[in-house]
Amino acid sequence: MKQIIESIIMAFDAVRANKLRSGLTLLSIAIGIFAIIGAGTAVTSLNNSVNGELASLGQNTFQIKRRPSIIMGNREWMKYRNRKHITFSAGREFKRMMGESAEAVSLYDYEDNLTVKANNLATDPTVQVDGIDESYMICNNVSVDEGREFTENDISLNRPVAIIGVDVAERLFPTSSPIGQEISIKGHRFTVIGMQKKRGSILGSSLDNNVYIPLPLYIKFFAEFVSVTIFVKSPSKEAYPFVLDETIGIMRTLRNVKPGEDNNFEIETNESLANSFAGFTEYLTMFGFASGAIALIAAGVGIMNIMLVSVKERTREIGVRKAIGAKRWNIMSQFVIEAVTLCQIGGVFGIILGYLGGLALSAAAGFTSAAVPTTWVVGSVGICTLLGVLFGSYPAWKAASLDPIEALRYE
Amino acid sequence: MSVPLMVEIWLCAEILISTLDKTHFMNASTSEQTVLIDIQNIAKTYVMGEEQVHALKDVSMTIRKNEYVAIMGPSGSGKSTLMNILGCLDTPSKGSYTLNGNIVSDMDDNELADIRNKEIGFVFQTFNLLPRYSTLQNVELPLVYAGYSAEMRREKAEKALLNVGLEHRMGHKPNELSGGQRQRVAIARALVNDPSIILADEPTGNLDSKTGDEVMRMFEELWEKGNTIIVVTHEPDIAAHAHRVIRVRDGLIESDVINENYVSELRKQEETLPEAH
Ligand SMILES: Nc1ncnc2c1ncn2[C@@H]1O[C@H](COP(=O)(O)OP(=O)(O)O)[C@@H](O)[C@H]1O
Ligand SMILES: [Mg+2]
Repeated sequence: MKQIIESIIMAFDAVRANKLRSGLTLLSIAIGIFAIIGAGTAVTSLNNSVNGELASLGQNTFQIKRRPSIIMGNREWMKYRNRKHITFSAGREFKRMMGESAEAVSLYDYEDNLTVKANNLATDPTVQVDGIDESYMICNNVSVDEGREFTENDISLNRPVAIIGVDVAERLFPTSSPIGQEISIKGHRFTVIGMQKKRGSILGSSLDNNVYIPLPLYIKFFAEFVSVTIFVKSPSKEAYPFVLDETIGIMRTLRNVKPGEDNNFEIETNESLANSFAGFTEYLTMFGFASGAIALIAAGVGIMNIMLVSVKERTREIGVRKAIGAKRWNIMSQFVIEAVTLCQIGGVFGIILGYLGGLALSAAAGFTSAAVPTTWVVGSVGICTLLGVLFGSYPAWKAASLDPIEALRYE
Repeated sequence: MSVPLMVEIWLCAEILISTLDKTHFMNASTSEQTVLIDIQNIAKTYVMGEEQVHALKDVSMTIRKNEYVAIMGPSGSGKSTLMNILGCLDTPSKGSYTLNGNIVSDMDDNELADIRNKEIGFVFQTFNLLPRYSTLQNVELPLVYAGYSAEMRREKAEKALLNVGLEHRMGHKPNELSGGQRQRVAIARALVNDPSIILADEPTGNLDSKTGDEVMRMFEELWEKGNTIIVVTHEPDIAAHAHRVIRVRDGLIESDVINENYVSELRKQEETLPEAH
């Protein structure tokens, strides 16, 4: 015990004696641990945030898209690039063919970063304009707070009506009710008939900074060649797999997929979204670990260097210790403990930095629930110990193997 | 009657039996029960590339409990080599070494470390104190390796420092002490684990003559308390403190004699202690 405390004190001495070298080494340990903890904090926070969000999405709803939502890497992108669009008319055909099998089928597309004006006020150019139909709100668990939702007639008769998000309403109509007022987007005028119930934010972006307009008008004004997203809501949990099967069947027919060929469209369920998201976080985790590991190996070499110098500088001390009865094991453990302590000092800095960095990253991304990954912190302490033992063993072994007389004679 | 006094009286008897033949005295002593060190035909050869250095060629001797021995000889004669072997810091190339009943020449590294810790107190010319440690910590260190509890260590170390008159310097670092004081700390460290033998290789080599004398008086006191002491020196003044002088030359023992002063002193004692026979 006395030996352990002594070795720890020695480690601090070694740090003090070689400030620059120790500083650089401790820094690389700190960076390594920072990378690991940082990635851990970010991933944990991301998971908490996104999984919470996924859970609140429409139950029993899935979507059909031309391409998956999360595409990683260029090769994946090339694979999806040439897929046929899902046109508005194809969507309508699908809706007709599904008939009564689904509780609701909704066609949808959106455009980002538009400016909405009213009277002499204008929003920032950040508003999302959603082209929707009368089924969208059922499928996606959104609802109207004030005013009314779109009817089938609003859609089929191309009525220039709009439902706006709370952010837009606050910006354009700070003092009065928006209902019945007129807004314009890119010079096209719409009458506000409803206001969306406040939704909050996901991954840092507000879900209330949007305007809903009928999909046919949306296509006509803003996006002539689109692939629509199709939402399908199953009438019940039990029916879900059958609805899914039927959807796939109809889509394959509509898009001329031959038997045995892969689908040329994507079905995204909440589950599959969560899965591909997990794939993404795994990627992030691996990245954190890989960069952490590189930094830690560099740090390990630094630790070994410091310890080798320390052993050399203290050759005489080792000789004295051996002369008065230190066994191999005593010397070995003294230096290993010293190396581990060095690593732990760096590790503590790394954990603190990593935690703060992870929090900053989460805050920047606007996660509602940032989290310290406890297991990662414990893991880091373990990694530092391992690092110290791994890279401290050789210098310690060298120290323990010194011949006492030679060591005592060393100048 | 104290143990040292008994030994002295016993020595008296021996000397009286062999008043003229000192060699006979030595031979007689080797067969005694109190033999502490017994080396037989020790040789040590250093190999330096092609060259072989025969630092010790063929050395045999015995040293009994509570002897005070000086080893003398010119530089390079093999004194330190002999001391290092006696101190279990080095192992002989040939020959056998028995220390306090342990056959040291057959031991491995860890066993030797244990012997150094428990049986031997080494005092070096250059003190060899750990600079970052206080006096007390330096003296405690052998007890750390011996596995004593913190209280026991402190108690024993304080006692050892009291013995060398440094109880008021326990918190000082070596660089805050004079040379003589440092050597006394080193002596306290050598004593602290109650070794059966104290070895000192030129302990006064780095001290002025006055401080050197002080240190030698200290060895004398230790001897009076029953310790066995072997001192390497090339200064006759220092050797004069010892009771037996072994001269080494070219890796061989040149002579092994009882110190004249000591003999005459014992004679005087003999006259005052006639009842010892
Ligand atoms: N480690 C060593 N390697 C080679 N030669 C050595 C070594 N140690 C001592 N010697 C040689 O052995 C001889 C005896 O040395 P030493 O015992 O130190 O003499 P002393 O202490 O009497 O001056 C010398 O010739 C010395 O050069
Ligand atoms: Mg010498």
